[in-house]
Amino acid sequence: MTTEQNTVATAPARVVDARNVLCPTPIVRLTAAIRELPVGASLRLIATDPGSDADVRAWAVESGHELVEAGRTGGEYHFVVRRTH
Amino acid sequence: MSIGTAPPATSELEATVRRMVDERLAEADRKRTRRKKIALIATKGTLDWAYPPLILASTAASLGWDAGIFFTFYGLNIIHKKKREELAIAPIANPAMPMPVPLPNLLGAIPGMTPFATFMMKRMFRTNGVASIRELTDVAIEAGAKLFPCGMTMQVFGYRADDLLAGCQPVCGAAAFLSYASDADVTLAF
Repeated sequence: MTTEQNTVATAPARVVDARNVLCPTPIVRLTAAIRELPVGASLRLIATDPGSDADVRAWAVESGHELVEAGRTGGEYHFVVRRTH
Repeated sequence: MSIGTAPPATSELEATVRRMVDERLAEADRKRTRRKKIALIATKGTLDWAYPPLILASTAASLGWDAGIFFTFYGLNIIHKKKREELAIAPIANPAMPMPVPLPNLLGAIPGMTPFATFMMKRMFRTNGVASIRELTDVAIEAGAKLFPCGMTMQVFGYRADDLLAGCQPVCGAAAFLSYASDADVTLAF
């Protein structure tokens, strides 16, 4: 879901650390954090729950917010999401 | 069509088809744009059974869904201020329960095994980063999930409304919950 325009954008300042917590905490933290952002702003989420990749994608579909980037480094999943509404 | 009946005029038929298509499109549009809803029932008051409805409801609320749980029978303990802290799990008759060493299941009947198993399970959850029941009930309420306490069970068990978490919905019965659940997209009972 990575777009060229977004990969060149500067990394979001807000980072949500959801490492070493399991479902549903990463999604709950992500939702709480996105609500604090202004519309159009992005945040980075780091998680270690093995379900996070599928869950964050589903969260984006269901919530309507945009998943800008999704990647994995070792056991860590990284996401950039943008508040759209 | 019988021979004696004249077919409807083309314009009339066209108008009817057009109206039916419009209605179908409007219905599909309503389905697509309306907020999804999940309606759950929690009937069990053990530590393990408390998790699934709370996880699903707090996640659904995080996805922007309308989420509700009807707490009935022992499930009511999950939203009881004091009892939610004391939810336990019994190793007896639960052969799937992970044990530090393999033990005959009957040993689960020894006094102290239930508190021990509960302690072990809570520790296992904590070290793996699973939220506690207290955290999950708080999160569910904060995320906007509706927690419906069953009035019948409250009467039978002698629970008062202020024994329950402050963020719960008003005490209600089956009719109120059915009315809430009637247009749900997902319904599950635990």
